[in-house]
Amino acid sequence: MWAKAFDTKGTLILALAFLGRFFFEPTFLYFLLSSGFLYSFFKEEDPRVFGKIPLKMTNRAKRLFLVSLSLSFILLLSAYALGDFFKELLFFAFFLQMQPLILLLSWLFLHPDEKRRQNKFLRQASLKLEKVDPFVIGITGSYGKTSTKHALAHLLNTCVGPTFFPKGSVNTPMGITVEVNEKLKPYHQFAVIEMAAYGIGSIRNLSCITKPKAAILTNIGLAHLERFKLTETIQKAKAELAEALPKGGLLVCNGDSPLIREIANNHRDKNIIFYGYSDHLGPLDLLIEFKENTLKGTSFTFTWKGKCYSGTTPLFGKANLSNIAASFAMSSELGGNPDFLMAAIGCMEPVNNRLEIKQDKGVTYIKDAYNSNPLGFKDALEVMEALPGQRKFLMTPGMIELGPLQAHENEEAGKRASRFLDTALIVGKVNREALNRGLSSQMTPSQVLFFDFREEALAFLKKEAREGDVILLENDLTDIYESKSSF
Amino acid sequence: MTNKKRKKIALLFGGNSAEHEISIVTALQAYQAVDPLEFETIPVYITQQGKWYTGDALFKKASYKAFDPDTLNLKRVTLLPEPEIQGLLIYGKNNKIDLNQKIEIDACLLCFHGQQGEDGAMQGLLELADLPYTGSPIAASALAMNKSHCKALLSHFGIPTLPWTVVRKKEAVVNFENVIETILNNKEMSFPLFVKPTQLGSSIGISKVLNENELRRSLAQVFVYDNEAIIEPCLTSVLEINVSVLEGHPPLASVVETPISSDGALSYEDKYLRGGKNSDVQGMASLQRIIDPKDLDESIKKSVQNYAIKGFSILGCLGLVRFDFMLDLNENRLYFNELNPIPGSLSFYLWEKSHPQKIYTDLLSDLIFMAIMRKKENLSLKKNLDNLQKVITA
Repeated sequence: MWAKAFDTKGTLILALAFLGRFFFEPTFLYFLLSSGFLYSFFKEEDPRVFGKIPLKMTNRAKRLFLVSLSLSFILLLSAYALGDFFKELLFFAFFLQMQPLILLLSWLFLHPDEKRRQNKFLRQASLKLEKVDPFVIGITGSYGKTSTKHALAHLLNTCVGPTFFPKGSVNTPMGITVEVNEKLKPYHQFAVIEMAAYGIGSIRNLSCITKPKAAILTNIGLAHLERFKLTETIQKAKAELAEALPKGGLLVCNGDSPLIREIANNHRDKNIIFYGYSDHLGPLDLLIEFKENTLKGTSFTFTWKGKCYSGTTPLFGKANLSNIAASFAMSSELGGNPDFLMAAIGCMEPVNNRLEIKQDKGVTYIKDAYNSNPLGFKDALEVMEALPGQRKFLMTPGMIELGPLQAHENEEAGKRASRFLDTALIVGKVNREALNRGLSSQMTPSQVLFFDFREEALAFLKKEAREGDVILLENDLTDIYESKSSF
Repeated sequence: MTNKKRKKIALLFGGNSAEHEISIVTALQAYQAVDPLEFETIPVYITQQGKWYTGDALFKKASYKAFDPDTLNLKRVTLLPEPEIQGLLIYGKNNKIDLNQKIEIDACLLCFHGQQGEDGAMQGLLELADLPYTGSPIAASALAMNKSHCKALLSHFGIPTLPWTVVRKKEAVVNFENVIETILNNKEMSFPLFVKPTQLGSSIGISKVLNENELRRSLAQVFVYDNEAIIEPCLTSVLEINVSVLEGHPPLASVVETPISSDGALSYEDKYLRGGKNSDVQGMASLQRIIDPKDLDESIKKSVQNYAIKGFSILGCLGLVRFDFMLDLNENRLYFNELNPIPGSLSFYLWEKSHPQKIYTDLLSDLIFMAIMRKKENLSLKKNLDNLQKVITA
C-alpha cells in the first residue's frame, strides 16, 4: 500500500490543464481533465482488494462513502460559480487535497445518526442479555484475553453447560453487541465476554451492557502503554471489571501480578481466587507447575484445593498455561468436574496465530503473529528454544505501542533471541535499530537480515527453509507500518 | 429439450454441522455432474447460522472463502413446512417474506453431511413441505446417523459388529472418574480402543487410544462435538472395506473399495485434506483407495455386498448410502463399522467402476427420479380418517 504526503496524480493533471489553457479552449480542457481523472481513478489501489485486511464495504462504510461523494459533488458544482477557468483549477486542486477532510466532515455529519443506530443495537443486546440471562464472565488484562476467552469457553462448553462467546478477538461494545444480537441463544447458560480497555470508562461501559457476575483478570503489562501513558492508568482501567461485579462475585486473578493483587485487595467483598506459578506475592488457590514443552504440547500440573492434577495440553508456552489455569479455576468454581476439565484441556485448540505450532514439509512454524508484547515475545522465544530443530529463524517487525519503552523492550527481545538463533529477519523500519542492537549482542551481521515488507521476508523463508528448521513468526503489523512512502 | 420441460432441482447443502465444508465439496461435485438437459439446478446453501441463500455465485468454490451474500449477489430464501407452496420463498426488503415471490422446486438433491442435514431433520422439513428429496427418509436417516442404534439394530438381524459401549456427556459431567472406571472395568473394552462421536461422520473427533490418559483426552474431544461417545475395541490388524448400495428392486451394491489410511484408520485429514490441494478432485473422491481390489477374496467382497444390501433393507434406506466394514485380518472376520446415509461425494467413484457401470450423471438422474416417483406413490396414501367431526361432537 502507498502512503502519500498529498495527492499527486490529480494535482499534476490540473497543473497540465493550467498550462494547456494557454493553447486550448476550456471545453476541450474539461474533457481532457475528466479523462485524466478517470484514468487516475482506475490506477489507484482499490482498498477493497489490497492490504492485509482489505476494506469491507459494510452498510456504515457505504453510508460514509455516499455522503462523501455527495459532499464532493456539491463542492465541485459550486466551483463552477467562480466563472473563471484558472480559479476553478485552483479550487479543484484545493478540493483534491481536502479529500481526507471531506471524509472527516462526512463522518461528523453522520455521527448523530450512527450514534442513534448504535444505541438501538446496544439496547437490543441489553434486552436480549436480560431475557436470556446467561451467567456472564468478563475477561480483561493487558494480554491473554482472547486466549483465555477461548480456553474458558471450551472448558465450559465441554464440561459444564452451553456457552456463548464472541469468536476471534471481538472486544468492543459494538462488536460484542453484534455478536450478542446474532448469536446468543435462549439456552446459553454462560456467556464469556472479552473486554478491552481503550481508555478509562471502556470496561465500565461494557459492564453496563453485559452485567458480568464473574471475572478473570489475566495480567497488567506494557501493552498499549503508548495509549495509556502509565501502567497505573492501565490498572485503573482494568479494575473497572472487578468494580462491576456484584458483592460475592467470583473474581479469578493472576497471583503472579502485583498490580492484579492490588486490584483484588481493593475488592475483598468479592470471592477471590488466585492462580499462578509462585506464591512469593501471596497465597495461591491454584499453583501451576510447568513441566516441559515438546512438539506435541506442554505438560504441567495444577495443585487445586489440595489435590494435584497432572495433564498435557496441545498449547504452548507459560503464558498460555497461565490462561488455561485461570479458565480451569473459573470452570471448576462454576461446577466443572476437575478430572473432566483436565481431560478437556488435553484437547484444547490454539487460537489462530497465538503461539500456534504447525508442521509443513518437515519445517516447524511457530505462528505468533496476532500481536506481540514483551511477555508474549519472551514466551514464544522460550518455546522456540525448547523445541528441537536444525536451524532456528525469527521473523518479526518487533513490538509496537509501548510508548517510551518500545526501543528498550525490542532490544531486550533481540538480546534474548540472539542467544540461540541462527538467522533473524527484521521486517519494516519501525523497530529495526532497536532489534538489531539486541540481536547483534551475540549474532554476526550476516545472521541479521532486513526486509521492508513481510511478503519479501516470507518469500526468503519459503526459499531457504529446510526440513528440521524451526521458524518463529512473531507479530505482524498493520499496513500503515509497511506502506511505501511516495511523494 | 426446452427450458420449460427441465425439472427444477434444489441442490441443498451446507448447514449447521461439523461437516459443513465437506458438504460444500460434495455439492459442487454434484453440480458439475447433474444432467443440464434434464434438470435446472438451483443451488441452495445453508450457512452455519442457519440462513438459506441461493444464487449463481454458489457454484464457485471461491465464494466460500470469505462468504458475503451481498458481495455475491445472493438472494436469501427459506422453506416453509407448507405443502401448497412447493418451492422456496424469497426474502424481500426489510427481511420480509412475500408469499408471491417464490422459486418453484420439483425435487431436492441433498448433499448434506452430519447434523441436521443427514440425520432426518432436513428430511422432516421436506416431508412437511411435501417436496421430493433424494436419499433415505426420516427414520432410516436418524437410525443410520446414530452409530449405537444402527449397530444395535443390524446386529439383532445377524450382521456382525464389534462390541461397543456408549458414554453420555451428562454422565461425564456428573462423575468423570466413574465413567472412566466403568470403561476400564468392561471386559470387552481393552486397549487399544476407538473413541468416536455417536452421531458424526467424516472421522471427526475419532481417536485411537492406547492408554487411560489418551482415553480421557479422547472422550473430552468427542464431547466437544457430540453428547454421546461410542467406544469399541480396535482391531490390531484391519482392512477397511466400503461399499455403496443403491435403491432398487432388489437394492444394488457397488464394487467394494479399500481406502488407504495413514495410520490404520481413516482420519479427517486422510479423507479431506490429503491430496486435495494440487488436485481438482476433492473430498472422498480424492482419497487414496483401491477400488475393486483384485487381491481381496471374492467371498469377502460378496459378504460385504450381501450384508450391505441386507442392512439397507432392515433400516429402510432409500436412494444411495455407503456401508463401511472392517475385516479382522487375524481372524478373517468381517464386522459392520458404520453407515453413511449421504456419503461423501455420493460415492460416485464406486459406481463408475461397478458392473453395470453408472456414471455420476446417470446416478444423480436415478436418485432424483426415484425421489419424484416416491412422492407420487405417497400421494395415493390416505392421510386422514374423516373422523374429526366424530371426535369433536363426541
